[in-house]
Amino acid sequence: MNHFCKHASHLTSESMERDLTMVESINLRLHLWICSSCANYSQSIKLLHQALAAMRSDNENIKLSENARQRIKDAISNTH
Amino acid sequence: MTQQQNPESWLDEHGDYLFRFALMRLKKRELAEDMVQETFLAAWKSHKSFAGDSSLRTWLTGILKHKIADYIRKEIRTRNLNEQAEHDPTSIWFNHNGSWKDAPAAWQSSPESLLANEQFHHTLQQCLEKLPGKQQKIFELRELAGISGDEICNDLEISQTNLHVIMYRARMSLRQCLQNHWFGKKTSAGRTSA
Repeated sequence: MNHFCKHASHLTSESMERDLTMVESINLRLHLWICSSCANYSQSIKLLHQALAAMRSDNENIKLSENARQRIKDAISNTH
Repeated sequence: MTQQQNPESWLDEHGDYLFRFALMRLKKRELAEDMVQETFLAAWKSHKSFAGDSSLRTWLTGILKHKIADYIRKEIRTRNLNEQAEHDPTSIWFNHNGSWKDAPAAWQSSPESLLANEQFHHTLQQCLEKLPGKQQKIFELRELAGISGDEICNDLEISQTNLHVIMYRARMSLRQCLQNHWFGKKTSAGRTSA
């Protein structure tokens, strides 16, 4: 079972990038069920993903500064 | 449409949106502002070619996207941020028989409590900065900015396989870094910063 760990770590990461095939998905799930190291790995990169996603959501209120807005307006009016 | 003839009203209506779009991908304020400015100038210069079959915002975003992709491609090239393809770092993490060299331990934390923790934020940021340049750039676009894999592959002209390898290596390195500098340190009187 050890031999599968390297492959399982690849599949865990791939599963966040694409849909795994049915065989891949079953193999991975079976392996995570019996291997606590890989289950820990899987849990930790999911936690990492969630933490990064949460960092992303708070830029909703960010706006162009007044200076930048004025600079862009000036640049545009110089061209016409 | 009078609104489409007036770049100042474009700025009022779409400036903040475009700025956020750029900032998410570039992280630096001034750089994002410059890109937005260049976008409006380019859009104004070629506004006659705007057919109006897409919305103005979509059209402007398309111009901005190209400029950002150009910028990032150039940055990767000029700073020579390419990964050494011949060096496969997986041997750092795995034995020849495919077993873990250093078995991953469980992380007992909820994302909410981690995110509320300034020190964790700081440690994570430091770990991101330790990634090799191209890997860092692409991982951040994907995971921090939330850009789709397809968009990254198209804009930066890399294959899906290449992207998956980059993401895998980044995740492995980040997990190890956080293990060393955060989760593995927790036992010693609360949390020590990295």
